[in-house]
Amino acid sequence: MWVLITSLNTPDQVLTFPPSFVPHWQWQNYVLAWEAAPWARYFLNTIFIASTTVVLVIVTSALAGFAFGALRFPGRDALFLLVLSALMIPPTVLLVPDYIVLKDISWLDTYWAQIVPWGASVFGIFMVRQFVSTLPAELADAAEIDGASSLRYLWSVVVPLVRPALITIALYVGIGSWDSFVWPFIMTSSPSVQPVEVGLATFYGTNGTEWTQLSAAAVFTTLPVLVFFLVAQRQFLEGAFSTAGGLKG
Amino acid sequence: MSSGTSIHSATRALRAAVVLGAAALLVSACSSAGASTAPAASNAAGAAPSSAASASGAAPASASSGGQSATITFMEAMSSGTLKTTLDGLVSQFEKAYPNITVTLIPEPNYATLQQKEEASVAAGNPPTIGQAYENWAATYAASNAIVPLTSYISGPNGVSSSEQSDFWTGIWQDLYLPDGKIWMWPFNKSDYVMYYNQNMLQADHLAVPTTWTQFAAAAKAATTGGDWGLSMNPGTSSAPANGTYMFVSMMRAYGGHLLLNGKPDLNTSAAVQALTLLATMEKEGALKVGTNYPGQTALGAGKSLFDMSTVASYYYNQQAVGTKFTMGTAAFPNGPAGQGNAMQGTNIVIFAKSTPAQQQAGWTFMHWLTGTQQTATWASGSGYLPVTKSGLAAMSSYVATHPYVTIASQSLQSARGVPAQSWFTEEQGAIATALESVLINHESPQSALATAQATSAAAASSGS
Repeated sequence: MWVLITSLNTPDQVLTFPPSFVPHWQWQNYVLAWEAAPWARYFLNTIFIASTTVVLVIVTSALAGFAFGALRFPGRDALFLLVLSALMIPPTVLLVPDYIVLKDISWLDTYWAQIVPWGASVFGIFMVRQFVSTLPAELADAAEIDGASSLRYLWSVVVPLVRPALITIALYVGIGSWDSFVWPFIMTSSPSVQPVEVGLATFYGTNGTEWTQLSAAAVFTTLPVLVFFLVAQRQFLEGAFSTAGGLKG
Repeated sequence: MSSGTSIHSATRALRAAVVLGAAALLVSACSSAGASTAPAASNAAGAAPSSAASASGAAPASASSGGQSATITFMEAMSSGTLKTTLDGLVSQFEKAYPNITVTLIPEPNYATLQQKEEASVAAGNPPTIGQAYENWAATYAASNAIVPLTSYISGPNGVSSSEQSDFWTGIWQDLYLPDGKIWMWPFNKSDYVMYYNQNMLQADHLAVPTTWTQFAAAAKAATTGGDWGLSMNPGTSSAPANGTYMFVSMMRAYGGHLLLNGKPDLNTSAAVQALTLLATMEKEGALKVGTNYPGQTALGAGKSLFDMSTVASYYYNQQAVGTKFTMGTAAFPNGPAGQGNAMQGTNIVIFAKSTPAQQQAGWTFMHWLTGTQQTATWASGSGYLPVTKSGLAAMSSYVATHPYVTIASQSLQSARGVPAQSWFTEEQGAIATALESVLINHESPQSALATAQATSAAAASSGS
């Protein structure tokens, strides 16, 4: 609410004390904010990056989660622990080595750098694995008797049953990708490939901050996520609170 | 039946997802291929024969007819407000005058980020053609051969005449050298510190505009009543200095101290202790508060503090913050027993060594063009930074008429000193910021905090880091 009020105030009204919660309807802040950066490009980039990342994460989570939850192979649990242990490494620690790797493969300042490294999610793999491990073994046995391969069993039986988990993963990853700042901020430098969150840094200068325009931009960059969440909140909550896997009693 | 339908629809959905993913990857590949080939194309253009290089560095007319083109990248932190619009305008002007040269700006939001990204790009072997750099950054880059000296450009065909050299303020020209005696930098966005104050508050308290640090502390104390206070400042951190760090440096110099003496850090001196004790006393009296994210601007704009001590480049933002709430005054930084110790701020431009000779020549042409009289006046009037030449100041008379402090602040560039051009100064300024935090937040004694800062700085200097 404060951001919304700030976005409609004059710069000097933002810094009054005690603070004023009455907006002064300075709609031109939105015009100025929109003109300050190539927002259309930023939005297109963000939509493309987020949607592609979601597709990749769904595919990799389903495949890896299924493997860890339903298949039996030597070292499975150790490998799963190894995957989980990736959560313990603070992403900041990896920024410089990742930067050098991306430079070596000429991915700096590209869409690749913003999509591929995020195309697999430990959280997604974990979630699918948890759902899959609750499925009764009889389902796999029945599929096997019917002559289904493991992949056929995954696509035809498991995926429909773990759909709530996949939708939740898609929502989390989609919102996370939309909100991503540090990674694209470091790995890209051209507005032609940068997302909206990096665009917001336009208003944070070396000698001060354009608070009114920053707030206006924050409003119009957050709005799509807010609308998305409101539309999809039922699926979001269903997936998040579902602990019984894909089967109902 | 229902289960079968569900399985089929899931299969269809999955197939659609896979097709979408493949399409997205294809588009991504195409887009990134475009992005990654663009620099290669510009490099190819930049790797032109030396005739193209000299053409881009020559006068606009011959540059236009040179036939070869060069694309240069400029990593900078002029990313918001009038800084951005003014720089964008100058780049457009330059590209019209030199159609063979394309300048691609790589804006970063602040100096800390700029430094990190420049260092990362140097480490990765992928630096821009030119970039803003503080003196100590330039020293670090030069030590690792990441930038090139400007000597050959200055004495070359598109070089600098003696009359042009004498047009630069003395402090500005001296600031271009590294300790090896060579010029490695070219001036860009230079500023120094001024004192912003709430004129209404000053008059209400029957106070004169302070001209010494003692008067400044007394005025701040007098204004500390009824929920108001004298000054808010950001002391900086060990990794990111701030206005408060350099305010202290100015005070220390005004009391006769030095950042550097005989090539070594010199922080544990009576001058430094005097300056820090004055700040500690102000803090103890409630006249000084510390914060982050331009606290001086925020407190002054809110009408809560009497002063904001920051550079002339903050004028636009301070004026925006104050609006019509009260009259904001601007005056020279106070003096101490040793005079005014103003710290020169802002950066110079360096040319990175990885770019092609043609790009380097084009980079020099651009940065040299920026310090032409009209361009200097345009940049200073639009950005709030100071004109780096005397002729630039003379060419902005209408701006000076409404911003009279510009003359005082510009003239102080004759004597203002930048940060020492030593790679280890990054550690020294971090140690100063830490000392300020220790005294103003943790209430350590100035002597003890400065002794620690001196030890840290001396260790950094001896290791040459």
